[in-house]
Amino acid sequence: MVAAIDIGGTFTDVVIYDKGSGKSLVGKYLTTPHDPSIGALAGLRALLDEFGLRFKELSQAIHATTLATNAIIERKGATTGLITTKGFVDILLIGRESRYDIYDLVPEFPEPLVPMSMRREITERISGTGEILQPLSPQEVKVTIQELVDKGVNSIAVCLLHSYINPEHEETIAESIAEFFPDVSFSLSSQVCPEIREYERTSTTVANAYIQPIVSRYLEDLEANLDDVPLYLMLSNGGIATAQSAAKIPIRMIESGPAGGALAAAYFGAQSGFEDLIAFDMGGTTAKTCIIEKSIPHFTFNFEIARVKRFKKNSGLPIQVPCIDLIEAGAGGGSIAYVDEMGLLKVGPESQGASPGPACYGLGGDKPTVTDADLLLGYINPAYFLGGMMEIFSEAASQSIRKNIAEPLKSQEVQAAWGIHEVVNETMAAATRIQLSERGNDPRNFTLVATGGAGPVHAFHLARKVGLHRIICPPAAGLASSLGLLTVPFKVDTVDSYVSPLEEVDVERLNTLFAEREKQCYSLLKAAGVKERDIQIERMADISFEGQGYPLSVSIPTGKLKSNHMEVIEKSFRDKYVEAHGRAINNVPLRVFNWRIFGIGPSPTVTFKFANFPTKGSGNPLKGTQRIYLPESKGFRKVNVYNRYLLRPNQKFKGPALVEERETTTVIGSRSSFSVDKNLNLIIEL
Amino acid sequence: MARKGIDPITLEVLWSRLIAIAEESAMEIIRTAFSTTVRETHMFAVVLLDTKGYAISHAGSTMPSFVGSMPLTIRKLLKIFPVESFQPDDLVLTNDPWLGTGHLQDMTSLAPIFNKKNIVGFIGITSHATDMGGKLRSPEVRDIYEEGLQLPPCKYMTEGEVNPDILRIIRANVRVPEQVEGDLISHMAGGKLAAQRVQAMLEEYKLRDLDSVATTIFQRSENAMREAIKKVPDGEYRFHVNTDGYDEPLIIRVEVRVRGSSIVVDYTGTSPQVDRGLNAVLNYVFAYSAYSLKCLFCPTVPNNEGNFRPITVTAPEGSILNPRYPAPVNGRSMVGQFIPSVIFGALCKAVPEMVQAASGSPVWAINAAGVDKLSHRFAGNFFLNGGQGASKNHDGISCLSFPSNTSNTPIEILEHIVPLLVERKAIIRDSGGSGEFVGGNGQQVIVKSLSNVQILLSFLSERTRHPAYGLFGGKNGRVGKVTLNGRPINPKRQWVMSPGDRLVLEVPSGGGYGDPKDRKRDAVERDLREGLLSIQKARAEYSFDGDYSASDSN
Repeated sequence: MVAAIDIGGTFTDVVIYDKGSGKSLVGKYLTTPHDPSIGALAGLRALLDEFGLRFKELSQAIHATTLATNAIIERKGATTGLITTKGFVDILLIGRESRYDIYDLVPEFPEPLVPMSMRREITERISGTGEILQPLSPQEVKVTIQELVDKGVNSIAVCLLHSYINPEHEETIAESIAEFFPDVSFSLSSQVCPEIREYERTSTTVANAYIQPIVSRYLEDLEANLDDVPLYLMLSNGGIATAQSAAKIPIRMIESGPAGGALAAAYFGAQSGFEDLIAFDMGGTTAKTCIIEKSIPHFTFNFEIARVKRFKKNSGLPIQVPCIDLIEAGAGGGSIAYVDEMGLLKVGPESQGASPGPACYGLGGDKPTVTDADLLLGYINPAYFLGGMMEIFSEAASQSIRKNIAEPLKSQEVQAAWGIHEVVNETMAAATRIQLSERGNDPRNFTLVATGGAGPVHAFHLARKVGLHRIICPPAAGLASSLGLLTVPFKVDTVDSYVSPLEEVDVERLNTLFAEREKQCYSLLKAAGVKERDIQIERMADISFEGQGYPLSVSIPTGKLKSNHMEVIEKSFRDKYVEAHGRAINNVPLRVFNWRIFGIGPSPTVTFKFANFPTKGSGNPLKGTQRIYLPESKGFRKVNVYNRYLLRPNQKFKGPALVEERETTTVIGSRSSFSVDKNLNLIIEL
Repeated sequence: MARKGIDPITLEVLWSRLIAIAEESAMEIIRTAFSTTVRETHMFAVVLLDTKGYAISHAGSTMPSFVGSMPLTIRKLLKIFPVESFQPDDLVLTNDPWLGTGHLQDMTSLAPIFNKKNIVGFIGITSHATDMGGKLRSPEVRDIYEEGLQLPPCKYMTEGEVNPDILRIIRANVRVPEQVEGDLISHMAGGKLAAQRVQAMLEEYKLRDLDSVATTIFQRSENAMREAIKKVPDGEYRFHVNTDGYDEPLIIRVEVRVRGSSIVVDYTGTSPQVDRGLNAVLNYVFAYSAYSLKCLFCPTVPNNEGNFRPITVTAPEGSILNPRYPAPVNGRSMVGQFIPSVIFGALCKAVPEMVQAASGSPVWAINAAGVDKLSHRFAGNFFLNGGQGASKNHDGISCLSFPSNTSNTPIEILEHIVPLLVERKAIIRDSGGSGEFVGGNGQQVIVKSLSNVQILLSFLSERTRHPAYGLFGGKNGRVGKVTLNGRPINPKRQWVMSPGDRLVLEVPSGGGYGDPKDRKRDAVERDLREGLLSIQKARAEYSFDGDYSASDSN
């Protein structure tokens, strides 16, 4: 048996999965914010107890957590120091010098994670070619570290210029810290993020140092309380790693929960025979999307965290780690709608969250939210919210939308509610279109996979806007991330900046580099228990035309390379470029920036058989009817309501309709049909 | 709905979509562009326009001067190439400074957006080319002919086919043909994508054209801008600033006339045009004038034609803000970027709580070029920003681009492009103008030549003699300075850097706001703690009587 635990902001989801039978037990528990491991363990115990199981029967636990992300957002990390090359101590303050909103005369930027008094310079210099121009002084290193330690620093980030080419000086400083201050943890930029561009590299290294002590302690505690069940962590790169190795570069755990969600989408999509997907997860505060091609989620190496303005790109701290490319596409169910100074309807980014929540929760929230609008439109059944476990106050939703939206807009309450639904969808559609077009993808070839409590409510109209023709709603939509954790292989990756015109790449140098890095990948994976013959190596190179700044990551051949392989690499790049940007460019040489190695273990094969779904057996899936708003008819129409748990494969139904399950409702509009397949995925064709 | 036409909900959806289309097109340009100027410093803009050449939307984080001048450019281009002369996948191109943004480096393209057989709008793109031939960009030039290739409006592309003659002429005239041609390819990619997206939107909403939505957007935005202007007390507000000029200072004089819901910005009294590249054409002047007023009065409404309508801008013909052809113009930002500070200075009597003290701008730049001993040509430019001016309740931010929006080039990238070693890039402590709210600090950059050959250098720099002013008792910012091997040089001229030479640039800082005596004690303590303020200055300017070591407790 394997346990998957995904700790989110509001809920901790737990799945217990039996590899032999496929039997899957699922549970949702409240997160305990001050020490999330308490809630996770309590939830795990409760679920085990419910089915008369014991800890001993678990062979491993796979874990995703927002701890790393939240520590940065809430500024609850370690007292961190920064050591830079002499002359560059202000690097975090200077940033990239531009403004993310040109009309805002007083833009805010995130405070650096390291205050000035904890930043130090070291006399040293390495050139762009890796040559040491100014050697380090061991004495100065020691004194500098001592000063930081005296200030109470217990984690140090070291980021020196051009260390991605020559890490020698950073490593010397690390040896000094380890020798003289063994209790102080350290993060080297040449290990955390060995990539060109000093500001982004420093920002990433500092964030890593900032969370390292608390993440290590947390993982040690959790592991200790798991009664020797081996603990594995979901990483943002879409793989899992042992808790021990994850703790070394904890910044790689950023967004691990949502990454699990994207992998779940890839898994459920593939199960139903669809490989090109858009994972769409919409919860209480945000909606996240990720593009998946050939069952592989898109990747990014540039991420951003802790935005000062949530919907404004570049208002946060840059993080450069390999990361499943999730973007915050828009608002969530708890996001607040309002009328702005121009008399236009806006939604979010402010959210009511789970508490006080939407007006219809009756918990004291009186602002109109997306959920309130969905309720008025008939998309949510007040009598069956969370399976009927939670009371819903429709009149409160109605009143709130009337007062705050309909009256100021001089429109009908229903138009106002539809407006909220429509504006939210438009924002998400815009984000999704940008995401698709960055790689030149045609939306008509993609299937939307909707998860999260609000995902299936909004999926249909979102899909129409983007021009998608199919939607999949997997079973247990609210638990997708934790199910995703069970589908993930072991994965390690490395990156090296070796910037060169492609035709001038020294193949021998490359072979030596790859051999060393691949050896490293093998030993890490074997340490995690993966058999050598199951290990798969993949290589990528970041390439652009000479002069461009945004390389495409292209798969390149494995094994010992010969000079004629460069032509193969060139062709792969040119093909990919035409696919992404539509137009070939001839007679321009290529430049390669980074070389990446991925070591991947075998993907687990899983088949979920949900043991504790509320209803089993057969019966008429038609539950009754409900009046819902249909934009095509500009009004309400009575539609059939189906019980998700009683739908059987090969039964085909026509929209418009609603399909209800415990955690969500799937809204199905006109001119469409739907059915469930043998894997219990609900598939809507439109 | 009381108003006829589009209901507010559909309007919001369509409006967001039109902005998103411009954003998406801008992303495509960043990813396909070939020059660091476009892809790292983001010196470009994408504007969606209606069939008459009025701006409907533009991408968010962009160049204010391009966004404001583009509609003026496009409307002039449409007189030369009328709407009915366009076929799908045509592209009109020009770098004419008087039609465009004011110097040859900026290439503006115009492409039609068709819906079925009809043109429903245009996509305009301006981007800054790394090079346009002529003299390495420097205000030293004497006329436009020295500045490089002049490309009058022409059909660069007809139904998807680039005119090979025009391309050859461009390539033959510029130092980096791959970059210039490559950036033009990104114009095509960005334009094509925008056209496709607009077509899809029209289809989805069963619209024939953009006219009714554009009209409504303009009307709403104009109303919002007018409402905001109405709150400004009527009157004539005057101010002037001095710039370093080439050898002699130049004066920019303004009278801002506020009447009801309209504003006239009049630059009468500004210096006559000069025979050095320090003249800014009227399009550029309009762009920064309208931008300044929008930042003050209506910053949250998305920008479009409606925001421009209540504003009139005039400058005497033959002045540095409205020069006659063939005046040299390539350093036009060295006068034009003073416009926000002169307008804010004028309006500080009318809306003291809204304005900002002067920033340590215009943006500075180093251009370096040469040929190394192995005959490899190198050329690069990088940008440095000074401190932002302070305003009511806000300290200025150190090293922030304003009014331009130019990112720096990473040092590690720069050192790969040119044989220079950056020895230091740091904030200059104590340099922001003191005040209740402190001006942003400038930066010092020290660069050493690692080359074994001479490197040709030119700069964009200003405020080496005339500081960014403070407001309401706030002190002026620190002036900038350029030294070569320890000796101050006139950075408006071209220079040559010999092997081992050391160049020091000190970029100016922003002015303070309000009397320093009123600065809150905890703000002084925070600045001490953050190392941005010395104890000496804290005592002298803020009468700080505390113990520094005590406040440095963390």
